[in-house]
Order: sequence, then C-alpha cells, then structure tokens
Amino acid sequence: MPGVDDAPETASRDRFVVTREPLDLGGLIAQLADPAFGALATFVGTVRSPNRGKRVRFIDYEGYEAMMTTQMARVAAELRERHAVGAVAIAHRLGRLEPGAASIAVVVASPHRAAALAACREGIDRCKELLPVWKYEVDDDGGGWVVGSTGAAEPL
Amino acid sequence: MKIRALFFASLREQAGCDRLELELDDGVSVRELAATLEDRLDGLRLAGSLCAVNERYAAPDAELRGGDVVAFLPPVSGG
Repeated sequence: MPGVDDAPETASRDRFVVTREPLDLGGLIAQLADPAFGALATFVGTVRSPNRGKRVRFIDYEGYEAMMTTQMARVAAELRERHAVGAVAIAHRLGRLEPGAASIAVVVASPHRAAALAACREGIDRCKELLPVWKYEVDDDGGGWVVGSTGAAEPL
Repeated sequence: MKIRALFFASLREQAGCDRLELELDDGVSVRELAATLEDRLDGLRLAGSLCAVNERYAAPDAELRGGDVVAFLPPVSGG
C-alpha cells in the first residue's frame, strides 16, 4: 500500500472514549496532533431534528460500555490495516441528548489528507455497524427505539 | 457451568431485567441459551438480535464455556 511506510507507529496515541459529558473535539485533536501528521480528518455526528418529518425532542442513548471500547479499538485496527493511519480517536456520548448535540466523533490523523479522509469516512461507517449503542428517540407523538443495523454479525 | 446473560435496550425491557445468571450443561450454544431464556422470561423474543460473548460479537452456533458473559443486543443504532 503506497504511503504506509510513512505512517509512524503510534497506535498508543489512539483514544477511545465513552462519556456522558459533552464531547471534547478540541481535546481529541490535541491528543492526536503530531508534526508527522499533516492531516487530521474529523467527523462529528449530531442529533438531527426533524427526523423522518417529526420534530425530535431528545434521544436517550444507551450503550454496552465495556464492549463499546473494544469495538472502537477494532475499528481503529481495521483502519490501520487498510490506510496509512497514524492515530485514531473515537468518542461516543451516552445519556439524554437534545437536537444539535454531538453524539459521536471520529478523528483520524495521518501524514496525508487522502488517507485521513478515507479512513475517517470508513471509520464512522464501521462505528455505525459495530458499536453496541441504541437510540430511544422521543418526538411530540411519543417515543420508540430507532431501527438498527445487524451488519456486525449473524443475527439469531 | 455458570453463564451470565445481559440484555440491552428493547430486549432489557422485554426481559424485565438487565442480567440473569444461569446454570447450563457444558457445550451449550448461544442459540440454545437463547431458547432457554425465551422459555424462562415471558415476552422475551431474541430472533433477529445480535449476540456477543465476552464483549465480542459471536455467531448463534458459538459454543459457550463456564464463566462466559453473553450479551443479547438489538440491532445497533449508534452514532
């Protein structure tokens, strides 16, 4: 893979965060920053409203916290196999979030922008499939569990 | 052998609890554990859900060992 040899061995810089506090994107970027990384790509997902035509009041996020961390590490390992990735940070917030609040952040540091952007895009897609998190969304008409993905494994 | 089952989100609501300790025969699979749980917990329906053994996704035919923590997970919707 071209460029892989440029990537410093810095898996120890990776950060995987599960929190009930507001996400600290600036803090994640500061932890990954390194002169060797000329590119830092970030993705931030927020609570969307309206969703499917309805005004969202809030979403309660529930997670299997211990497994979230192991799956975040798996996502980072996959990205490192496929891209010239220097360091990866993934953070997910749990608890009650109102529209506009950030629920997930994926940050990828790399020597070059093409790898950083591609890995960041792939990283959020894999997080959507793999992180054991569930959304209970409440709008003006009531609430319900958001339909999820079974891309992670063979379902029962 | 002793197994701990965990339930999350809608499955926790169906089960009426978030965990259950069970004594099972050696060599039981995830699928067999699921059937036992459905028998024991009225209203619990595990078809279509994902499972994880010791925090890693596992196939329904995975064989369990004493001390395993088996989580039953509705399809995931993080992010």
